[in-house]
Amino acid sequence: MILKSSNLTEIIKPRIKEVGLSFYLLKKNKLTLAAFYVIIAIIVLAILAPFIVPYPSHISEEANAANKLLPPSQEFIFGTDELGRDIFSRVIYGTRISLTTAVLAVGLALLIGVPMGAIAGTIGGWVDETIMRITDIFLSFPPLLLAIAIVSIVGPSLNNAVIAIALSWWPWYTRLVRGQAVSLKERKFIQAAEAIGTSKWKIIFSHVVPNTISPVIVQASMDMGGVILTIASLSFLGLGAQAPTPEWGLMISTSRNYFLNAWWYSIFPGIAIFITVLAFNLLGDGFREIMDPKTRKN
Amino acid sequence: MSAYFEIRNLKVDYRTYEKQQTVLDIKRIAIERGKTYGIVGESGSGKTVLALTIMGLLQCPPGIIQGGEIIFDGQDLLKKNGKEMAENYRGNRIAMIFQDPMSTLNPVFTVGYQMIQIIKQNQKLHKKDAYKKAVEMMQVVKLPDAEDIMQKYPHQLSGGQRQRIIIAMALACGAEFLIADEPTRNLDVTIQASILKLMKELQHKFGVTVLFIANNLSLVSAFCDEIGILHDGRIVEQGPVENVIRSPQNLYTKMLIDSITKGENARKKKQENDEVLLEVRSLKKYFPVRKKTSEKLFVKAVDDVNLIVNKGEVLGIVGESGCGKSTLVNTILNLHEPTSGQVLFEGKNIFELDRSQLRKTRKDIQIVFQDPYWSLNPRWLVKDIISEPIKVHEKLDGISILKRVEGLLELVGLPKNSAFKYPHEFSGGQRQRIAIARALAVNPKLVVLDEPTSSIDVISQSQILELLEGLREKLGLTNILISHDLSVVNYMADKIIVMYLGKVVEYGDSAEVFKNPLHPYTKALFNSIPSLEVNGIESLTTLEGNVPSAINPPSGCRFHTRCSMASERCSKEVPTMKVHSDNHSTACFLYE
Repeated sequence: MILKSSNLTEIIKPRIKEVGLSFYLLKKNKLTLAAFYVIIAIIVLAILAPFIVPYPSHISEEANAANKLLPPSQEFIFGTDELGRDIFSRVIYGTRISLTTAVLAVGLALLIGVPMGAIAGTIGGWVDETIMRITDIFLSFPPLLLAIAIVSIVGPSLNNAVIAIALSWWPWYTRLVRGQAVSLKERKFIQAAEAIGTSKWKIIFSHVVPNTISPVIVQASMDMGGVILTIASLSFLGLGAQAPTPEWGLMISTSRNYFLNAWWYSIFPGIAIFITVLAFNLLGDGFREIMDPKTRKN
Repeated sequence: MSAYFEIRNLKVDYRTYEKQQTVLDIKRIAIERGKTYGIVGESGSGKTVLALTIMGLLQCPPGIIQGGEIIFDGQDLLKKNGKEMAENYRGNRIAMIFQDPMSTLNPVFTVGYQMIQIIKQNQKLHKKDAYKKAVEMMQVVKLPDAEDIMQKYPHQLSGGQRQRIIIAMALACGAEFLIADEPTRNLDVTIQASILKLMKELQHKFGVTVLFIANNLSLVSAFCDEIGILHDGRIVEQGPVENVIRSPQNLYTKMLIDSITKGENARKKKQENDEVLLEVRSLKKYFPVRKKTSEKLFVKAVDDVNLIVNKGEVLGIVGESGCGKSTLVNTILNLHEPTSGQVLFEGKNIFELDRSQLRKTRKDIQIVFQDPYWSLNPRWLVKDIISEPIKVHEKLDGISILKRVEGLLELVGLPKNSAFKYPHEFSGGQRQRIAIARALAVNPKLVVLDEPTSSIDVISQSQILELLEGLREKLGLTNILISHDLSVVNYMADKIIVMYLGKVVEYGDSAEVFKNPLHPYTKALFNSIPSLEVNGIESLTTLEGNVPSAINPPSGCRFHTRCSMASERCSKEVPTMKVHSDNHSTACFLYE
């Protein structure tokens, strides 16, 4: 057998060392480490939400008019909304929605953007021109405005909001990856692959794409915050999640009517958005420092 | 009483995230005023750390200066704080010449502006006087049209000119101690010789003391009075050049000297074989240049080149950067479309092949690139890198591929378990072995070696050459070897071609060409390289002027602008290749 056990440890050891180095760099920057832990906590919360929230039934429209708009108390630590639902339960459950939609939107944008950029950068010529001019058209609208336009065409819903965001976000990745691909093309291993006779598609997807991945990860992790914010904004405008979904933006939108009497209704979903977005932005910055030594502080 | 410059018990550590290790541990280096001390070491031996420590520019952390003294003119530099170093030493008394002049010059200002700024700052002169001084210094470093060059930006100048400007800056500020960290590394050999001559001349004129750092023993020994061999942060041997070269005591020094001298004339007579494998017929490759005007301009990278490679033969292509040797090879590999001409591989023109035939030719012609750091995909395992050509050209299952990869690793002298490592876990020489294994994976008929040893350390270089020579005998390979390092070509090549500005100027059996070079350019090229036998820099030949632009090459013989033997005819007529003696031809009117 080729993989003998002694051989195996020798193979795995350097990999562990690399992970160790990344974690060491992460630990050196306290702010990034804090953001990292916050995000881990948010993910755990999102996964466990149905089991830990005190009033799981309040996620849907089950109303209890008797408890309408109660301020924070022992029973309802974040207070209740206009239908008597526990805001704490809804905010916690909201992490689930925000995270999954953000991951889906960014993932979809990557799925479109990365191959387009790699193709444009590697093949060049008119293919490059065409793809880049298309991205230019997309980039000449503010992403939020473009997303609003798309949703108003296809109809407001959370799924459509995700698709709209992905459609207005992919050109950023295309640009990023194309830039990387153009400089990679000069690298000798691409030329070596060409001289060997490797096909263009193989070169794009097994040589170019893996080597553009670090800046893409950095960009994607920074974008997570922006996308969460955009989804909240769309929902706030009534173009994203629809009632009774416990989406943060939608909750804030509804809370506007009760803003003067029930401060807790809008403040807690707001804080949830703030913490999540901030944590993702800090983590993105941290990733950039880890992956690009040039931006590292001493 | 200490010497003018002296290092005592200097110890520098580096801390990485897992451990702290000593990178520099020097007992004593002493340099008398006006002398030249050379430090020879491979990459990673601590050369640059030493230079930075002296200049007070070492990044701490990760560097930690554990102790010791650096005495300069009676003062301990390590006791000075950052401000004192900047004000009283760095720049005005101690100057440094870096490997890459581009990193020292600011690309957004003209060189004149930068010189004037430095002179103003250091000498407290007015702008007018500073300007005068700058022009004067440009003339001292023999830059023609000094006032014109003052207006230029760094990228508009050649590497040699930039390095001259750096030297001018250092001297303009009255530096008395100069640290030169591989000042000629990125320059062509003929330019290198002229820069070294200039440095030597100015050293005598201004009485400067020089600490010369390089990885090339021949270069350092030709330039310096005393040398120290740096290995793993320690000076393993030092003394006057003669003593160290003639009777080395240390094992490492012996290896270093061996690896240089062995290269010369180790070539055996190979059996004649007249079967032509590759033939290039009047190949031209012009690259269009984008210009604002409508007239069409071309870079004539390869201009009317003919050559023949017989089976089992090694053809060496020699020339300085910009001579078109890489373009020639890329065109042979069909990575570029030629402008005109033919490349016949086994009698078939490779530019007229259909797809399946082209794939087959790709299998038969493989390449090993110069820089093993860039030619291997950093995200792939070694097994994937080596098996890439196998997967493209042969249908094999995973286990057989892995078996083949292990066989190849063994062939190039790497352990089997390298298959599951990434390229960054290997040294330069080992990576080059991986690249060689990849080239050999599908049993090619022709392997192109594009500067196979120029970016790896001296000792690994000679090992790689031995490996290549051994593989050639074992597998009966045909090679095209491109190199600017003549000793490499001398070691391996049966025939050699000398190129200048896209044209072949000389062609012949390599033993004959080395013994009896004909073309003035070939002569200059051969004589500009320092060897261990050369005593002093003065005996090197230098070429005046820069390599002309390939967009608008000189009329007639392209070399006439720099040729000392040029007559009027050379600027009017284009010389053609004429056979001079058996298998030795040149394009020069001197031999008609």
